[in-house]
Amino acid sequence: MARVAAGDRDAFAALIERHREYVHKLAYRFVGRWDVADDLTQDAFLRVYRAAATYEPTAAFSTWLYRLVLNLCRDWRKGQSYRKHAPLSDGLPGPDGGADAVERQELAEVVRRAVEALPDHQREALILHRFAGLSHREIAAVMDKSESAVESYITRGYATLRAILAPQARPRGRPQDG
Amino acid sequence: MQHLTDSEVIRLVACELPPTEDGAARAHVESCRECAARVREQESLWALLGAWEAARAVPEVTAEVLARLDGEPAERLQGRTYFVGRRARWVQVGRIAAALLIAAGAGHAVGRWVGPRGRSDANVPVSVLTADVVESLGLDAFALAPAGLDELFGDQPDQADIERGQS
Repeated sequence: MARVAAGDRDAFAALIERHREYVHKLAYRFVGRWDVADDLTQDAFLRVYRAAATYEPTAAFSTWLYRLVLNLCRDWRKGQSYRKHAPLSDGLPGPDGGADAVERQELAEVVRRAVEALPDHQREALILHRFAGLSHREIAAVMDKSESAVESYITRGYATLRAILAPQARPRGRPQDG
Repeated sequence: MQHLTDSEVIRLVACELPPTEDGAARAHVESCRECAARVREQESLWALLGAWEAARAVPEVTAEVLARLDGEPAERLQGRTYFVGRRARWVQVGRIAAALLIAAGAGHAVGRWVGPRGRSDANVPVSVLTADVVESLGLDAFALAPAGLDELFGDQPDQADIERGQS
């Protein structure tokens, strides 16, 4: 970051290359659309560059970066809430063949919608936990919340998802109702 | 051992528990059918969430970001913008509102201090204030001693004169 702050474009390009995949996926999880995730990924790195001069390594760079991405996605979602747009779509390409592929896509869409239906903090915490693989402590740092608050978000988030996805989430080997 | 909490079940499935706690939790699950069922449910949910794939080619953003940097003014790139984000904008709005409030309060206080000498308008009857207005507008210009002259030459009535005039 010190080199980036000094205007070193090569260092900045290397930083983008190192983190772009993760940032892109994380943005997609938060906003649910690939096209928006593409734009937000660019915006995120622009912000990184702008903030490089004032960046202070008080936390891990990745934590700082994820927080930046989260804030960008929050802003985007707030903007969306003021507009009467169609529901978020996955932006996935159409089925490319086979019943399995269709079924997989449908299941993915069911899961995405279930996650999307969670309250904001629960959704963010759960995405950071399940899909970004962060620990409770790291999530607390990214969300700027206490660990106990994060624990509560995650616990309630999984409980809600368990209820929503009950038909799909039956443990294997358990007799099905009816 | 007591039953696992919901959070412990989640952490166990996510392999987040410290080694000692993890061992104790797994030993408990082996002997507790209820907790074993809860762990299976969480494992099932964990696996199901994995169905939401995010498998898509990562866009080539590096060149585009660098190109966008070239198109921006230098001061913006150095983070010297005054309105960086939504929060900064609200801070700015708050500052302006606070400045207006302070100015209004100061104006009110100063108005009380530099009002008609020796009294506060808040404690003066309306009839006296009306007399002030009449004087200031020169409506008594044909009186023997027009008020405007007193104001100009400093021989202004004090509170006792005003009250005497009232009576």
